[in-house]
Amino acid sequence: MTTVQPPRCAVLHTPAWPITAAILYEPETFGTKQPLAVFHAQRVLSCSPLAWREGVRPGQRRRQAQGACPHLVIVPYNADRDARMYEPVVQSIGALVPLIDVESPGSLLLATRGPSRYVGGDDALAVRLLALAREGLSHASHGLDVDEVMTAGGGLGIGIADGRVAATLAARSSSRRGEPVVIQPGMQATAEFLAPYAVKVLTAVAGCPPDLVDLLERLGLRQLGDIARLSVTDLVGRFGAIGETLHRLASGTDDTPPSTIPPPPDLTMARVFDDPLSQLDMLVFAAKALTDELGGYFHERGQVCTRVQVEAESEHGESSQRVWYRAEGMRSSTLLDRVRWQLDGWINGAEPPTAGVTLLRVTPIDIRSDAGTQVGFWGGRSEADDNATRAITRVIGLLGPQSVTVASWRGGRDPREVYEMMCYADIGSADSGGVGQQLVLRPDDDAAEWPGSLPAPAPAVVHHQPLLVEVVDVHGRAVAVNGRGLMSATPETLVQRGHSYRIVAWAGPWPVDERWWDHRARRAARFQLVVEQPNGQCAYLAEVAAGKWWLTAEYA
Amino acid sequence: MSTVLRSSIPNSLSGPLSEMTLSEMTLARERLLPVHQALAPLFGLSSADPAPLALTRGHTVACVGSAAMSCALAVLVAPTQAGSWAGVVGLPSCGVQAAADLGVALERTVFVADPTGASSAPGQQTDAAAVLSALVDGVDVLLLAQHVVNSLSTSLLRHLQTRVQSRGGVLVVVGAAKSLTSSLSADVRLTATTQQWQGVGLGYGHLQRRQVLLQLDGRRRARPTEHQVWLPDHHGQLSPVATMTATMPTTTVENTGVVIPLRRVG
Repeated sequence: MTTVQPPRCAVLHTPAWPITAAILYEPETFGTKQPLAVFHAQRVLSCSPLAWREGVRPGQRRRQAQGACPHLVIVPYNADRDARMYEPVVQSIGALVPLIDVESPGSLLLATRGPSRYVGGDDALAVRLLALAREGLSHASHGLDVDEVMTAGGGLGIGIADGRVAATLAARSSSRRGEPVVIQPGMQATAEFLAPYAVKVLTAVAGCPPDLVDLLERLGLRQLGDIARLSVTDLVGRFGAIGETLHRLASGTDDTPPSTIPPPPDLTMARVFDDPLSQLDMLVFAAKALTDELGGYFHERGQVCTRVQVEAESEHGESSQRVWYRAEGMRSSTLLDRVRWQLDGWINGAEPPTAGVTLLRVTPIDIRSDAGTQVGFWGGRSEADDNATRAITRVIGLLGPQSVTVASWRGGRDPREVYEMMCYADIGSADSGGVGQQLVLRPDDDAAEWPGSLPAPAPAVVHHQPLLVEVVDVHGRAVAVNGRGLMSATPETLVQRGHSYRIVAWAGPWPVDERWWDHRARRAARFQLVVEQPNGQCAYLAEVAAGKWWLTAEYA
Repeated sequence: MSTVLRSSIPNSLSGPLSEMTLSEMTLARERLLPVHQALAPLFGLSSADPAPLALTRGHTVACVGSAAMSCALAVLVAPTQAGSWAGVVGLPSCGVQAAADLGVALERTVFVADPTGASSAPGQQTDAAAVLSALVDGVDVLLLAQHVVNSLSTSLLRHLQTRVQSRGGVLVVVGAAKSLTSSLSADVRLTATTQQWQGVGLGYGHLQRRQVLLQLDGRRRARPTEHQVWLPDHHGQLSPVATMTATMPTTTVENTGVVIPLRRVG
């Protein structure tokens, strides 16, 4: 176990990054010549060297810090700002080293094996990294003096050593000394470097619990060397499993590699046509090459694409962009279907491009590993579901994603509001015997009944554009409803488009006063009216709002 | 599955050989779609069967009358519950809540915008044809608004009906007019006439149920049949009218039975 060589790492460390970030972010407010401190939860999170000299220490309460340094400038804590301002540094170093582990804003870790051989040794790498970091900072500093900013933030340290702990400690000492610290490779050198450090550093560097560190100190193990000298067996016997971890950390054999993830490959497939294509067949043929290549890529890796963006652009700049989703995943032929549907809908649709297509681009958005689809033995997904899904996707291709909707329960007082029409394209295809679990069906319990909603039955025809009508009393005067929900007279006749119909029965008014707290306020009184029409009785849901009568629904 | 459903034959099998195998394999009951229990007497079937098979695949059903919309939604109930998909074309005013109350499986119902409307570009007609044929291929029951049918050309309608017949779906056309003026020839016609509304008086109560006279006729029916139903009933569903009530003369609205007063809210 002890023979495992820990990976050689480089750590770039800025002790008081929140201070640096604040100065870079608001140079007018926070100057480099002021003592600054970032507070979080009423305690000093980090402070500038100037403030340090005055006696401000991380962990102090605000009162203590201001007592030590009355002219201390307080910087509000903002994790987003810290991360955003660190990004130029990460990007600048990313130009040299693609795999970077950003531990926190202000501290990043990278494996040096490759980069170090590339630039010619650890020392050269340290110098190069420092230069890159400065370059990144100067991009963000908007004319500020980089050295000044760095000094105000406690300097910039670079440490290269075997293992994460040693490299981090080297970087910390480097930021104090102002020059890169490179520890010679080999376990002996690493252990010697670590030995004099206080046990306390393990809390900051390796996240050891403070009470454990406290216990170690009380046991007389004040330096890392003390722990490293003990045998692993004794440590495990006394502290349990964490004893072994302690020994590894203290002796510098921690072999946890930098947790970097490779950047996602750029899978955008594009084809530019020198001769613009206006025929669908030729375009689809060209698209086949793209989707085949993508499909081959996914096939090799055992992946499928669940969401893809297809873009086409004509010579005159018109474009068609759409995102396609398929829960079961897409490979070459299913991808090609989507491209064909979209191009077909665009070229033969209502607004065809006025010139030939010059650009075709297919961008996979969501990719997942291909876990296969288990077809249910009974129930589950049926042939009818497959057929319907295919047909609906085709219709979406022809009419556009807005034109195919499904109803999802939302609840409400008005028949117009109870169900929400959602684009089928947005909620994806059928998963099992229907539009899937993404669709909200009406709950069975009483929660479905909103207070103030109309009792069953519901109207079969709902006018999304209410029809303006007149309702008059026996003298021909319009019936009004006052603020207290009282009617001026009994409704007698409904006048719709010049025709008068006798009201044979009515009920109401049922007032609604919704959303009075915002601009969508609605105040109305609802009625149910049954009128005598030539072809029999007709029942309507009417609404009086601002003195006007509207037919909002019909019980057809 | 021991038998092959008519609708599950893939598109590519369209040669003469497959047609032959198909006709041999297709059983009579597979040519039928279920209808709601309360509609069974109209088709001369017993209403004891929970899902009587009565709707012949390939037919065009015209729903007319003052309760046409509810009637068309009632036709959707049994097929969608049995696993078929339904498409509703050109009916943005369709009352989704009423459909859900009736029992339409909304998870298998898609609402499609009017493919003929919006713009009157010359290329639009072919677009509508493509959209409707695609839908016919995929769903078992296609609900079309009358105005969609009216704006299609005669040849296109005939093509559509042929396609419905070959795919084994059912076309339902909703129109308020008593007779379909277009060239679409309906195989069966379902006329729903509102007899009376119950539950609401002069200033009290609320709409509770509606008695509807359903009449079924058309060129595929030997003789017209009729049946009284509650469409909708107290719960917004479709239920048969008990024989005694059906024969009772019901002329006045005041004859309402139970009146539940509404509490004032909001």
